[in-house]
Amino acid sequence: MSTESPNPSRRTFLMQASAFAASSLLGGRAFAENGAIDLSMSNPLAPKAAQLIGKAKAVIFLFMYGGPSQVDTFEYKPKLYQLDGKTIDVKTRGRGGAKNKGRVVGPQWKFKQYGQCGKYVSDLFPEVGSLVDDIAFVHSLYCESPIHGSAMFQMNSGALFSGKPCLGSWVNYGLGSSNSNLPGFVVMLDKTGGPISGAKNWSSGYMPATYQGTVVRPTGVPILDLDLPEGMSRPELRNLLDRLWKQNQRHLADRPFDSELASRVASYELAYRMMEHAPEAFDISQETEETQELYGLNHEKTFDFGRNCLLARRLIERGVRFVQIYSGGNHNDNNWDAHGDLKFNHDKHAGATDRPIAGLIRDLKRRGMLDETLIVWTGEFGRQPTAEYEKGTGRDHSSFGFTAWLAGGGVKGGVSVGATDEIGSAAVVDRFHLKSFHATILSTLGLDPNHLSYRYSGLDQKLVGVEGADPIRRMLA
Amino acid sequence: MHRRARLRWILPSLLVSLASTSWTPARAAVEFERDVLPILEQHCFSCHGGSPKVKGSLRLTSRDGWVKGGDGGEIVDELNPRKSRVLTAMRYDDEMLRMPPAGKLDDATYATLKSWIDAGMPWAGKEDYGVEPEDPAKAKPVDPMKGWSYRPVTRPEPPQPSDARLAPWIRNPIDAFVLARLEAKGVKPAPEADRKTFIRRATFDLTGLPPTPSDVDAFVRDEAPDAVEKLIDRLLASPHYGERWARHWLDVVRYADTNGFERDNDKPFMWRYRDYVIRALNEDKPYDRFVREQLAGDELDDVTSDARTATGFLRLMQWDDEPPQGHEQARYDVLDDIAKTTSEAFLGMSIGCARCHDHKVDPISQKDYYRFVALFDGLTDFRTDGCLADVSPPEMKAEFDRLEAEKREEIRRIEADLAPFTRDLARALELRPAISGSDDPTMWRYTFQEPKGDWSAVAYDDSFMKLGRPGFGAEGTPGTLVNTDWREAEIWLRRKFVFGGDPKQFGLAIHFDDDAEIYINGVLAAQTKGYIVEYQELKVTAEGRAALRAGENVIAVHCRQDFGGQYIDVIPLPDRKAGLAELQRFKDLKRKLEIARERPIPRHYAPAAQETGRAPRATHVLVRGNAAVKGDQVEPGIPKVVDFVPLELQSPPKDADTSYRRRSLADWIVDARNPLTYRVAANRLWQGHFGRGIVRSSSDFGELGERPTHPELLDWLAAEFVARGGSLKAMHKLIMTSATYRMGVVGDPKGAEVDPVNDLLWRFEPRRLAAEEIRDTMLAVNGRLNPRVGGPYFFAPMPEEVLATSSRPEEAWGESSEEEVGRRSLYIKVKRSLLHPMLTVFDFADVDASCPVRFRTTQPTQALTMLNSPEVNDQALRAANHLEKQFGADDDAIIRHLWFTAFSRAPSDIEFGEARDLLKQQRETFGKDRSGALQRLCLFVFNTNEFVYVD
Repeated sequence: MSTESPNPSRRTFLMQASAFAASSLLGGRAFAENGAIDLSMSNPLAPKAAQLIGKAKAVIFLFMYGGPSQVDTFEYKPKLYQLDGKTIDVKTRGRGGAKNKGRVVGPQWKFKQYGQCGKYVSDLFPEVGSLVDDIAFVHSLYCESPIHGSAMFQMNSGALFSGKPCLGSWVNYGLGSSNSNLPGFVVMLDKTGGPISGAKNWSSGYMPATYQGTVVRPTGVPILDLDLPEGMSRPELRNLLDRLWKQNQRHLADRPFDSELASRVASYELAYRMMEHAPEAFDISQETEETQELYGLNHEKTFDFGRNCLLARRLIERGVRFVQIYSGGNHNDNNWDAHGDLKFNHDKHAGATDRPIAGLIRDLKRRGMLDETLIVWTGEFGRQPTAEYEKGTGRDHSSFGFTAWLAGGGVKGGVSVGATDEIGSAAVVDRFHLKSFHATILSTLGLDPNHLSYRYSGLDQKLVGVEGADPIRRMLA
Repeated sequence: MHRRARLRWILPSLLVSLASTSWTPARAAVEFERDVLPILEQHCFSCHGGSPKVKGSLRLTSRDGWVKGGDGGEIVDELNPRKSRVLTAMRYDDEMLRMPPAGKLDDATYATLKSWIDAGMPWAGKEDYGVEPEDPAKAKPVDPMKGWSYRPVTRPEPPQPSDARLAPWIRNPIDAFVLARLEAKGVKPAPEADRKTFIRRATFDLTGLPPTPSDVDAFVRDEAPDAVEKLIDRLLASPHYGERWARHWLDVVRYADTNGFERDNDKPFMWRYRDYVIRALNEDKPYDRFVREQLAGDELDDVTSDARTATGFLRLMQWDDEPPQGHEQARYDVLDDIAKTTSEAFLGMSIGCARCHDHKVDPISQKDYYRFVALFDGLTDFRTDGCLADVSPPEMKAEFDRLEAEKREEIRRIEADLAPFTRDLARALELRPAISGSDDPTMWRYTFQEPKGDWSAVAYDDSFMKLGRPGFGAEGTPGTLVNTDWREAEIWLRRKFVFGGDPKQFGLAIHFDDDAEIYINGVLAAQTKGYIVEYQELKVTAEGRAALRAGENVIAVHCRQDFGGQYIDVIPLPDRKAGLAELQRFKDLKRKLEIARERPIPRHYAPAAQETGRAPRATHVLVRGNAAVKGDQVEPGIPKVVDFVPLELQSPPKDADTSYRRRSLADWIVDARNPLTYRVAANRLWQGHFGRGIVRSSSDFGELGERPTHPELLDWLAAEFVARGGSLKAMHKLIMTSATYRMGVVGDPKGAEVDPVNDLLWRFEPRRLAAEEIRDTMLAVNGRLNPRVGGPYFFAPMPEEVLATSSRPEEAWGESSEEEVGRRSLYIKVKRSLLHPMLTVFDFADVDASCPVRFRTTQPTQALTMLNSPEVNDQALRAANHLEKQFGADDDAIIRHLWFTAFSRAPSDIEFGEARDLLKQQRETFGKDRSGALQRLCLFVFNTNEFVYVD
């Protein structure tokens, strides 16, 4: 770890021990003469230098909740078409338990080659397909759980159970946030509701709440309690804050050693600024018609996800470190969990996301932001090559092998790493545990996955676990 | 078992060391440097010996390393090389152990390594191709406090101050220890806090609530020399003391009302454990008893209702009803959680690190860990309601037993009355079913294949059809009495019945699922569509009636299955009125039975410990923590590093249904010689009063934890705690009457300079109220506080925006009455996946794992909550209305009272002026009515630093 950067475990100690009291003895001086506020000493979200040189400065994590099918999206398995309807021996494990044979469901969409690299992509993602030269795919991820709840925890926090900080917490812990008017870790949910286990999926676990994800709403008041209470105008609020300031200054004067009190005074000014500036970040009417069209905002099908992608761009433009957008929420076909009718399900969700995702990449690129923004696309796992039921095209979950992709900062475009077997049932070539994927994400940000640690319960805890993990180097630029 | 094999290897090993660089047996089929080394370099070395960090302590860069193996034991079976674990791993046979992790080796590569292992692993070239592994212990300087917490507790003599002028400051021995360190650094203790500050501090500290204005007034006026002692006694006697201090303990034991994971279902009656903790504290239960009850309340000599409830401690963990890695792994996850929480909570020992393998700096080995886990391996698997035990107090138990017996008797009576109906409903309803012939009169002829010809006709020959007792259908269809299984798509039925007189008296009773047609003597007499869920009368058509004749008749039925339940039974009623009366009686009895069965006996159930029997299953070391890879068997025990007080495994009495392992552990923990237990407990007490422990890492007294700032003081407190019979209340009083506790928050500027984090305790640090205290104080100020202690949780209103984050927003939360919502925050439902935002924003404990110290963050979102949230604005409005009701139009009285309740002091003249000005401005500038203006004044007060910080 570079010596210039603050040592996280030292900071942990300070936070646990005295709650920042030690971090700023300047107390009253938190207010400079000109009224500007210096929170750098007491704000755990203050920007920090990365440990290594990383290209990406922010992450937009597109979570395809429910588990998209790899063989119907980005991993081309020509042999699987011919096997359609045949019952074959294949080991699978999903919500329906472990099975040794099953009826193959051929891919429900055709694949076409795209780009310089000639990557095969299914007809579900023609727009994303046209950008494959910017994307690094990994087709050989595996994880331990084929059950939504625990698999979500693992994808978000590296552990099969809750209580650990999520990726977004780690990124903010490692890098800080460069905008104090907005939360550093933002979560946008599908309009049908949150995913299974709700807020546990963006929890900061054993880290302070500062690092937890803040759910924002695309319409209305974006952040909980951001709006003024009923009947209060902005001048009235200012008036109230000024009165509070006066009262608190008197209180502070008698307690010269307690910088925490000054921090709290300053936090009210921060809140005031958040109220003023955050809504602007969510105001998409500032975007041109052409940009809105790019994200698919003019089509009912793509409007919701497109707006969230556009908001994500606006948020990272303003210094938010980590934005997670859920495609799909609630239960059953409201997300990618295609147990019944695969065609219906994936047409619906890919249809809602293909254009917005491509729009996001194109927009970032033309603004010169793609180099500094990492885009992550993944579900919590993939799906089986065989049918779940006697009839129909539905596929059960599979954690034996699935596809995810990265694009943007620090990522080498036009590559595909690893593969599942001929029918997509399990990763066989260059298998990577999910934690290698996490390690790759941290690496693009200049964070060393094996050194970014936080002391808790007697251990230097890491996102990738105490045993560590190496990034998937071939995905890195 | 490998003794012989080991001998076989001594020789080659010797040869290796003699030859130093190479050892090649005669029959080397593959050449090491040409064939094997490149494979090892490509696939193995990067993790196993090629970098300073070695995974699984397995170094494959030398032959020695291959022979020695790693954390998981040997990797090569020297006796039977083909069965070597390393080969299994390379074949990817074992889902949990696959090497190399990046992908299965191709067949040729595998074959090369296999024959190399077969050949005895001939090695050539360098002896070791790796790099030195890192030794984390190396970098650390020698630490004189190393192992401090494992040394026996002595009772140090309080030191004398070297400057006699300072002696009067000392009120009790605590101060002597503190003063000694201050003197050494030349820092003076802060002057004593004034009375108002002290009562506010002490009241929040012990009850989590502000003192009332009259309490403050009385204390300030009390000139008695023991005024402070009296105050502390009064506060310790308050039932709110148990509530406040229970919350400290609930953080440590990760209390929650639900299981977490996908469904996050309730843990029914978990709150009884929470109430137990409150009660134990209020009763000042000796600490050793408190420990023994929670760990082994069911194994004690006197198993009381409280003791059983206390074992809910062992059921508090997260629990996955759908474990992705199988139930065995999930069982170990649960045991791990219990072992970890137990060791951290009672012993300040983080044992969990050793679950997967040994750590060089950690004195607790993996074996130690599993020996500790074995102490809990007798526990039955967790199930949501399978862990409930009857913990009714004995005096209520007799009454419950009586009610239970009564209930059983009533059920028996109704069942006896019902028997004729359930045995043969047709006979019961037909009243006189006698017919000619030998068949049992209520039996039917039936077939699942459509009969040829006119099958409903009287003359039809049905002898080919099978004979069956009604009703026909699938078990489990509602309201049915299945005697003959029918699961096919259709059924055709025929039987005879005798009918005497008037067709007007004839009726039919039926239960069908689904569509059916009924014929009498070949004539369609009735038809049904869909399904019903109990027997009913069916109208007979005029044609059907006309077809009836005196004497023998034939009834024929055809029924079809659609989906779901299926059933058919038709009963001809020769005496319709009487038959239907009997049917009604049948239905009434059934309903009565249902009611009787469901009548609850209000026993007190609580999640509690239960074991599989006297002798639990064997416990093994799990390789890399993986339940599928069992290593050596271990006996229950405690970590070696603390075994200088030996653990005595008690054998359970013959009639016991548990192993007594937990009791053995509990007795070992509370042994006065145990160096950790009382240090840890005394430290938690200290933390509760001073905001930080003498050891800041209050659940980690190990090598990697913080060192005590006052080791002698901690030892003295620990010894004192034992000497005072483990009485927490005695310790509270001891601590709170010390000069150290009575210091003010402003002290010697030199202290700020040399010791900004206040390690020396040169002053008292102000404390931000905990999340619960903030809400509770608002309730206290606005008069809404419902002081009821204990009972089921309630639902505090949840913002819609937060509900929307749940995958099932409409079912995620509930609603409680106005009165319930006024209860203390301690009783808000702790739902793991949906914690209340008012609590989480102010650093409520993470409830998934033990939380020894809460964070104390300062964030703008807290300001947003306090300024803007409907919750706080509502609290402020209620406060305004409450004040208005008490003091009418008297603004000054309102301001004065508000200041007293919120800050425990009168407003200064300046504050008076500003408050009046605020009200005036609210009315004149911002157009508020009186209560609107008062609401803003209260909101202002709630948002001040003074409101949320206690000196």
